[in-house]
Amino acid sequence: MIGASEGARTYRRLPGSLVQIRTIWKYELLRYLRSKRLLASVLIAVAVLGLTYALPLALGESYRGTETNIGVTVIDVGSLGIPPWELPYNSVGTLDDEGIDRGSLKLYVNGTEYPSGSTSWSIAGAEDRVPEQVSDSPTIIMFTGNVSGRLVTASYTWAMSEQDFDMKFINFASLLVIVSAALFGADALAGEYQNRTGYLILPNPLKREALFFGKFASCMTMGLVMLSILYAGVALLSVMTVDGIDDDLATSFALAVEYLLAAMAVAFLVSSIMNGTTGATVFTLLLFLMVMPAIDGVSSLAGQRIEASLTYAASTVIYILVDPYIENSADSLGNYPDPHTAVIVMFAYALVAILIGLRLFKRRQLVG
Amino acid sequence: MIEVRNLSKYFGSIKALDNLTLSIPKGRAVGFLGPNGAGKTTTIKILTNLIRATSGNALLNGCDVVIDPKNALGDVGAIVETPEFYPNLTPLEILSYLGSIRGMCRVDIRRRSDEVLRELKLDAWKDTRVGKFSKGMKQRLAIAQALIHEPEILILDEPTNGLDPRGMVEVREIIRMLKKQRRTVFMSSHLLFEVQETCDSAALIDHGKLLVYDSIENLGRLTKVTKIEVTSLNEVSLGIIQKIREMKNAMAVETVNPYTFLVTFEGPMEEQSELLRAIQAMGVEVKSFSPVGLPLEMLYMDLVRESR
Repeated sequence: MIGASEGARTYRRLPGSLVQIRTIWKYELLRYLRSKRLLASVLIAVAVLGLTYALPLALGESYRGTETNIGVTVIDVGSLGIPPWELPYNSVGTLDDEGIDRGSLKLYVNGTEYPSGSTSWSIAGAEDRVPEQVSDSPTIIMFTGNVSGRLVTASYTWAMSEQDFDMKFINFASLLVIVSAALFGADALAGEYQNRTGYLILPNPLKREALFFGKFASCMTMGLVMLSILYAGVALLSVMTVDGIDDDLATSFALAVEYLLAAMAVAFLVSSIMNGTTGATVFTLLLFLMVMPAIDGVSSLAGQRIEASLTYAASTVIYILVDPYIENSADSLGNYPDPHTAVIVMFAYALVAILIGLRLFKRRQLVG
Repeated sequence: MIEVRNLSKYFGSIKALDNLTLSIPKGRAVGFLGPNGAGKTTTIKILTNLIRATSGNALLNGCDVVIDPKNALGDVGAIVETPEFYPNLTPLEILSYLGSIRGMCRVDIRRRSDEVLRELKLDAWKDTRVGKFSKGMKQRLAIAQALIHEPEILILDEPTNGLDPRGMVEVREIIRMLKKQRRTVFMSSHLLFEVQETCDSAALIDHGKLLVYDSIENLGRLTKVTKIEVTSLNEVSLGIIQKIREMKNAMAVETVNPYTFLVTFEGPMEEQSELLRAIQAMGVEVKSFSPVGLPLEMLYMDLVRESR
């Protein structure tokens, strides 16, 4: 029977909005899975990892290696005008390599191995006082005796620092966030109108808020899958290649997730306004890849920093890995945003874009 | 129960609905008729919360669709235009999705999915992705999703659109069955005989205004225009045809063949016998004299012509 008799009709109670959000989330994910968009996202993240790792190797660069007979530039502390009693060493030497395995370092003076041990020489740490003239060198060796004027060479093994290794990959985190927002978020609401599936889903007993947040949750899940693959892959490769991970990698992941939230909210706002899915996707990509970075670039050239810029705030995703983090200053990497302000800015973008997008979606009519 | 009170809708300067008021009591099947652009789909879209009225109210089971859409649509199954489906999902998944949103439990969804898909001849395709479906199959699925939760109210916008003749007959049978089960059915259609066959009442609108709303029986009586087919044993000359054209109540006369002609007649039933006598008096040996076409069709043409 197509419709059961009056008495046999099952009593139904309408589910709450949270249950409906979960249902929408589940079936939206199923749609992404079936349409191979989920697979494409995973492939993009894996490709980023694979290419970033393998291309430098293919081009002859390496992440670790052994060096022999490398010249050490030695300076007599006395020649720097520093009284000998001020520093607990007589000569200071510098090596241009960083990431040197201290246990493997051997020093030779005039071809003869210089005795190891802290009484002969040691590598300067953060707590050691070093002359200003050599403070920028990546590796500083403090000699107890005076070895200036003699030929000093070194042999050692080295590995790229965890920070440098991880930063190579995390540079792409922002790109993955933008791709997720454009591929999933920009299409989410506009697609219901363009593809006429709105005629199926909207005349149902559900609030538009439930549809909005159900779709938002599924898009966020897709973005999180991409980011998780990237960060998990980076952590794994980092441990395998340079024997550790940057201690700020988890913070970077948290910031990337917040950026994803903000970018997805902006994409939903675009999707709630635009009629076509292609237009919404292209507009979102242009916004994040051209318009916002252009504003950041121009303001940077003018010596100004727009703290309220979303893409500027999102640069903390990569800069947070830099140790020490230098706030409110410019260096070769550009301006570092204040991380606390960046967190607030990204959250504000997410909140405002969601509120406006939701309001527009609730008011939107299915005409034509 | 479906209630529409003083509903008006403007699209820019175009008035799509003009103070429309309509009430469909519980358990009645009402056809919603009108020419293209009359405001049928606009009314249905307002009732299903797809668009908002400029003024007036639309209520389903006493709940205002704008104020409380969730409860208003809680016991409603709807087909609006020909909906598109998510192409990567199967009919079973789509029914499960919509059933879950409407508060059905898993067991009920499974049972009802099997029932409606079997009834709508889609059970062989239940695990096939909808992207491969023809328009007719999608329309069947649209009907299935409207029925899966056994709604009290059905709002159907041209439910047989895109179906083949057999599919149309089956859908009409389903609507008749729903009517027997005392479900409230509000159905727009261009097919007047479909409304006449399946509905208790019909509402005719044009230019967003309600022209008439009554039972099918009463509407048939309201019609003033009748088309009568006259067949003669002898050949009917053009002179006689001309004379009939000149008669008081004959609006038009069309010749079908030398022995048969159609008279479009305006007037009460009793005057039809006068027409018959007059034709016989002209020397026509009348073999048959019978009204053709549906009363509702006549009324529709009559009212729409008047409103324009």
